Amino acid sequence: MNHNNTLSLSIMSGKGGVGKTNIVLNLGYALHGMDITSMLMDCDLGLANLDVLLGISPDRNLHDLLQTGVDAEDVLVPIEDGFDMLPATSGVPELVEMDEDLQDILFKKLINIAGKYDFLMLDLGAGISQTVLSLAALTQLRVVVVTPEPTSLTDSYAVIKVLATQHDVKDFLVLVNQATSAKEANQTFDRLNAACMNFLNIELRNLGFVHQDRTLVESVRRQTPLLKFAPQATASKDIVSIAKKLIRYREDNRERIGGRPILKDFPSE
Amino acid sequence: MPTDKKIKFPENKLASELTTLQKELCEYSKGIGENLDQAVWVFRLIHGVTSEEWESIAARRDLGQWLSLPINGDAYPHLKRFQETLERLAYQTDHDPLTGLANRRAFDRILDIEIERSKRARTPLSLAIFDLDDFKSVNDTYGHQKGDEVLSSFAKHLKATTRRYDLAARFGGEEFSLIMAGSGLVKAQRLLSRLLDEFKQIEFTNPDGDGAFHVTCSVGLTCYKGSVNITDKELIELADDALYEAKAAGKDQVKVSRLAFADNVPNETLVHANEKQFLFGGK
Repeated sequence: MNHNNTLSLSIMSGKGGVGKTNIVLNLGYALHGMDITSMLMDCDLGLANLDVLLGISPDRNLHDLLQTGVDAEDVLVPIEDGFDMLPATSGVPELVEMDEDLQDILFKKLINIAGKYDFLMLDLGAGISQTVLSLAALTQLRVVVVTPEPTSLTDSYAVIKVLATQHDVKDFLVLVNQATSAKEANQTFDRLNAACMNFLNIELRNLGFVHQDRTLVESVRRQTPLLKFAPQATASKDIVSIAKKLIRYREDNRERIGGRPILKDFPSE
Repeated sequence: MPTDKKIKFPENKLASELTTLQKELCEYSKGIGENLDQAVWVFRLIHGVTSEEWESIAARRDLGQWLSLPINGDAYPHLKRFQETLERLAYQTDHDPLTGLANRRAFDRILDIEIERSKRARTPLSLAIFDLDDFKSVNDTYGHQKGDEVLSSFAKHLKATTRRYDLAARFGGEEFSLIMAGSGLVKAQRLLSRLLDEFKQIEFTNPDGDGAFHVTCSVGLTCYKGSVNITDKELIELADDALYEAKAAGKDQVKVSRLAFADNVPNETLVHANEKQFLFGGK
């Protein structure tokens, strides 16, 4: 079913601007640095920017993949060896709400190629649109990126609540981004976790945190991923340690991961 | 010997023979009860009568239950007439004879289907009920014939303004209705305002030749979006309530009912105030 034990993750946040896309991209780089292959999929449909952070402007994207005769290989953009990404479109409102038929076309084309990687990471858009929710429910794990700001806390709680009540999804990993200290990061996680336990009867798992780091701003401006631009930066080190946690999780749960389809409802051959 | 056209066909004899035969058959069929395998079909050959003549005889002598078919010759024209009769009857069961719009029976059937479709597909469905203003006085002042002309004219206008997949029906009297599948409130209101404006411009002549008059209309509108459970009866009641309001507010206008979909937004996923307070560190 999932011979390569590909672990699929959706990276989500509810609120926009919490650094989701930077986290996904640099996690990919960190995995690559440890010889772990991954495929990133920009699922911020309609307003994509994974490609922008990389300073590239790909000719083809998810939009083309919907057409007959275009295959995943035609659209995939190699970032490094064994580290590829699938760009999305910008400025196509029709794609923001991707219905089940479009998702079906897309994932049937993607699923077999995705099975060649160790990790498949979906960078979901902000908000609680049906597309975001249905994609989040497809993957094996969900990483909720949250910052210590109250607005981010509320929005991530809302997205968890909707997924739990409407899609029966109960397992979430939390990554605290832009934390000024370990103490602040832990308080943020504890607050969110306590609310989820109290009102939703869900226990969250703590994936760790990434320090607020001015170097990151500079790397975005230079359209160079942080791990490439400043591998010794504090935030870079944080991301590497989170990547290690994910690798360990995959090792520890090999059988469980291999026994499940990479994406629910889309069995690979 | 060729039949002399001058000799009158013995209608009386035939009619009484067929009536007797029918009685005998009825008596006989009582004996066999449910067991239709033992029933018989009886054919009576009638010479010298064309199918048109037969129809006239059947109508006059109350022999309509006898089906006629030619023995030699093409059965097709006869079956075709038979089919046309069935189609006419089917049309009559679903249409209002005066206006040609759907009748209440057809309306009920379609509304039930559209509510189900809306529920399944979560598509909007709007329902409008119309009542011509002060129609009794039109009948009293200008006569029933003129009244019928106003009703027909409104029906024609209703049909022309709406889309092919809308269903316009006459409820009876001066009451009409319109099912707008796929239309939300805003679209429906736009269409109805235009319809009302255009209809009241129409000039009806006074049958006494003295001047002209105009007729206005009041409308109750409701809309369903499939998010909550509702019956056809409840939806009609909502539109009816709105119609009542439109009349009470001075007629010649559209009023929108209480909306089930706005009243009942599902809130199982809502983040409540106490949850927010908890997140912000309160209790």
